[in-house]
Amino acid sequence: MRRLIKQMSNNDKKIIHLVKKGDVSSFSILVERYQDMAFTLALSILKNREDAEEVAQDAFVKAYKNLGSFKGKSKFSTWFYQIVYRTSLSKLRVTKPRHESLDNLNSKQGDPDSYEQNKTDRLDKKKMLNAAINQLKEDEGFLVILYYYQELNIEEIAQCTDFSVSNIKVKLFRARKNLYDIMQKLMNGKAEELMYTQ
Amino acid sequence: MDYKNINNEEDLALQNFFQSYEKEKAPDSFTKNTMNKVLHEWQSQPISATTEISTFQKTIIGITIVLCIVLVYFIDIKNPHSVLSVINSFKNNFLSIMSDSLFLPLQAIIKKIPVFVYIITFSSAFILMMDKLIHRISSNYRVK
Repeated sequence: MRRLIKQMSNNDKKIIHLVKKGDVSSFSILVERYQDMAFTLALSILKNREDAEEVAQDAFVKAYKNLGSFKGKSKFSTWFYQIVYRTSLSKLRVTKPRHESLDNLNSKQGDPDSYEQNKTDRLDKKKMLNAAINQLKEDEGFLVILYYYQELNIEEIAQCTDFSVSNIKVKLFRARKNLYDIMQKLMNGKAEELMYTQ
Repeated sequence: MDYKNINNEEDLALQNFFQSYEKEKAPDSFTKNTMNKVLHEWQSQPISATTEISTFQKTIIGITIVLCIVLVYFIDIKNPHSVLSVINSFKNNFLSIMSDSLFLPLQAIIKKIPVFVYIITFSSAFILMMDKLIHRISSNYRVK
């Protein structure tokens, strides 16, 4: 996984070099490569698909405009996620977050017994996790996705968010705690039990 | 309080849940729409071209400017007699250098050539050289 990421990072730098030399169409390779992650991260903050799409697109345009300032000291992905983070927060300031309430989600999951029947369903776990991330406040979803899914370390997450390492440790601690609590609520206290089911 | 590792079981549970996590899929038209925005941005940027002058070219330009200054300083260009006298003195100096018997046929030819032929030849050569240099500099540009 790490090797693959390193290869991708080197490849990103080659593409960036081409774009800087005037080959604008090469930028579409980066768009294809990072569009899902940009959309996911924006959605984790904005909780709205339309806003997230708009923000992810704007983030790419900003990345293109500022490609000259990318010196290649860090990974392109880290630099780009920082743009997504900033753009998402700017959007959040002008629009209210529009996420579903926890009660709504709980009612959608049905009673504990019916959930018990489907508890081995992998899809359910994915839905649960998405629903739980959707319930996290502001940038908490962004942080846990980078930490658990993208497997970024604390320093890299600090780079993405402009917070200090110690701040990120605190924020990440709260985000993980909150995520776990929400998962427990959604699964009626069976989160730990379900963690061993595939 | 260890911020890096929350309760180990909770952390393991979250790690386990994230194994089944799949990132959201961006809409199908995402790349197309984004690239349209990017190309629009690219089109709206002003294109500027900067010429790159090599050290050799800079040297030639410098020498030319110095030569021009020297010529203007020593010769009164407005007075044709002054120009002719300078060229004549050059011609005579040149002939005295080639006083060797080996160059006698060449001396005879040089003596026969009128001064204005030298003026036209040198001026043309100078203009051609400058034209070539400027053309080379103008074609050696970089688009930003």
